[in-house]
Amino acid sequence: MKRSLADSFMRASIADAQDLISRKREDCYAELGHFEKWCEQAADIRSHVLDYLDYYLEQFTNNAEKAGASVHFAKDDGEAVELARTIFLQKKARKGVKSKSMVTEEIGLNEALETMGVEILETDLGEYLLQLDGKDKPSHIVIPALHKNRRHIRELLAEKKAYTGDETPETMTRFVRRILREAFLSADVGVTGCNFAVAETGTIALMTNEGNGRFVTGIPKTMVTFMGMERVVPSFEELDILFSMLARSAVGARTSIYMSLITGPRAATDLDGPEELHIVVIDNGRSRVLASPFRDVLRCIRCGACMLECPAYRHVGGQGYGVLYPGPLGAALVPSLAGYDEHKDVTKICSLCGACNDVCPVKIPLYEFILEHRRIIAEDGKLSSRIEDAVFSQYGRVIGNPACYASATRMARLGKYLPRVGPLKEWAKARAIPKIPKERFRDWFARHSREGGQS
Amino acid sequence: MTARDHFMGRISRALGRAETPATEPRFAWRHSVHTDVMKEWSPDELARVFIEYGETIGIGVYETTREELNDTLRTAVGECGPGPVILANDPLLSELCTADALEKTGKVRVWNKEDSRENNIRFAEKAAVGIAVAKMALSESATVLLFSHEGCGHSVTLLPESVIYIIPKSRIRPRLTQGMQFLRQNKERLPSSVNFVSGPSATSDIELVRVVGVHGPVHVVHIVVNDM
Repeated sequence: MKRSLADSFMRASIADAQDLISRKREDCYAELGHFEKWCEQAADIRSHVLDYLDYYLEQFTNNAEKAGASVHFAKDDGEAVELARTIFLQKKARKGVKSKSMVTEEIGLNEALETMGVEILETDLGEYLLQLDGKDKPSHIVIPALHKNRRHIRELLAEKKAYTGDETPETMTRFVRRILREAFLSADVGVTGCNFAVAETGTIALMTNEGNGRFVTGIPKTMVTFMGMERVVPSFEELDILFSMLARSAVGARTSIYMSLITGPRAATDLDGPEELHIVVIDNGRSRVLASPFRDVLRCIRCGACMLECPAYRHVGGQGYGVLYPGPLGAALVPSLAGYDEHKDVTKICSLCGACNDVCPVKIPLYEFILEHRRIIAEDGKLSSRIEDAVFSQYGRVIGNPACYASATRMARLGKYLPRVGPLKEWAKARAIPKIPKERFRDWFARHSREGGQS
Repeated sequence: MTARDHFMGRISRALGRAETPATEPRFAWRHSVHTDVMKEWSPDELARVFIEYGETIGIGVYETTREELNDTLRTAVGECGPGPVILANDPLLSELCTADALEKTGKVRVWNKEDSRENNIRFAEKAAVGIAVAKMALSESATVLLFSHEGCGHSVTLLPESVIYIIPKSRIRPRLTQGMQFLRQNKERLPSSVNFVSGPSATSDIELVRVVGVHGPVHVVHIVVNDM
């Protein structure tokens, strides 16, 4: 976390991304109207699917097989990569191209394939740059290379790919386009994640803006899709709602540029498209979350809006969390998915301001879940004093940090957050909470400075 | 027990039951916000938003009639720059003898199901322009719906630097809601690959600067054909 905090470019770019995308998102929903109803609809759909996940996953599997796909099941990351290795071995595949996927990161797919001599190329521009760097990690689930500036990227391309062009994003993108075009045309296997899986037809739905999703599903002869088991929707009609929300919440656009819907391998009469389609359905802790009080976190559609709204994320950045899923989602999901032993610290990177709840398109009670995780951790006898100290020292850092405090009090002024602030509640047992004035002193001061210091 | 049985069993137990329910659950819709968007709009109004929004996201738009489609295509192809053209094998384009009309301006190849996968892909990769007909179009997001079929593979609209979509005005519907209803109505005859495409490929991965033309086409043109 220290290293993340030290990088001022990273902080500035995260702040810019938060401001820019949040504004676009708000505009986009304002134009659509009825944000609350859309969220209720989306949350209803996701909850319904989770309540009947066994039914819908059976239906999805039957229909995908009927369309000609092979569906495999992996209870954990080890089984998932073993299935992947078997498929690559059977196809004698040496080269794979992959579109962006969180679940393949979760299971460590690239590393597992590389140890057997397979070259597996990330094809999302941001992910490609991180992979080229060799030791870099994503800082946001939608904008993975947010922490790299154009100078870093130019140097990286020059060092690894003998790039000699300038540092404009257009020229560098054009250069990478040529490298990856060649890879798409020569790869043996296309690897994808899965935004949604349609039970009624056995269809895989994939959203991309760059078009790499269409390439990996259209050109290589074998396609392998990895999906978290909770990605299912009943039919295309429910997919409409979730897709409409995902595009708006993730990047503030009416739609993503491409949505590819793959139902089985290509027909005998088709000339392109995969001849073979494998779908690997992955549990990896999800059934444990399903049985827990944290079931609703599985509603998540991976839009990243909670991260872009979070004052703590703004400060530490995605990499500061030290886990694959950062931000409020990470703090709510990771301990449920992977256990408290190794992942209790992630719940501390949160000022409990509740801003994430308000932007979540599927209404996950993120704030309440993070607080509940902390309570469970704190109530564990062996840990209690140490963790409580940690919570309060984290809170101290928030209070001690001007920007963080500014955003926390700005929200507190809106009235509805204050009663929820965990550490304040404890603190308030001994003293009265100071009443938060309608106008903060620093706003009053700024206003009066502008107005010529008359007061 | 198979891996699948174990997998499903774990989910059922997590949901507090012994096995997967036998009857299909029903999802109860609480709102109709999605079907209310652009409800009862006229074809002209739908076409107007389709065109205007398309222009804001960088799509080049032409309006024409069925009679003048070939001329408009020649103009649009000319503006895309020199190079071969790959054409979908579509009933509309066959009726209008579009391939012959375009031959006058340069090399044209129609997606050929009699030829090999490799040859078709190789030609599409060398083509400067791909031309296809939209199955349906969505007004709200300037989206075209494409079905891959023996007459038009992915490659036609994916590999060339420029792509021209022909959109009969009667096929413009309000939004994704109608696109998804259409797919659901055709669920028994769904092609293995269906794509919704909204403009040229783009990225904002470097410093959030929008760059158009990443992997797919750099230039996208919509030709709206007044067929009503």
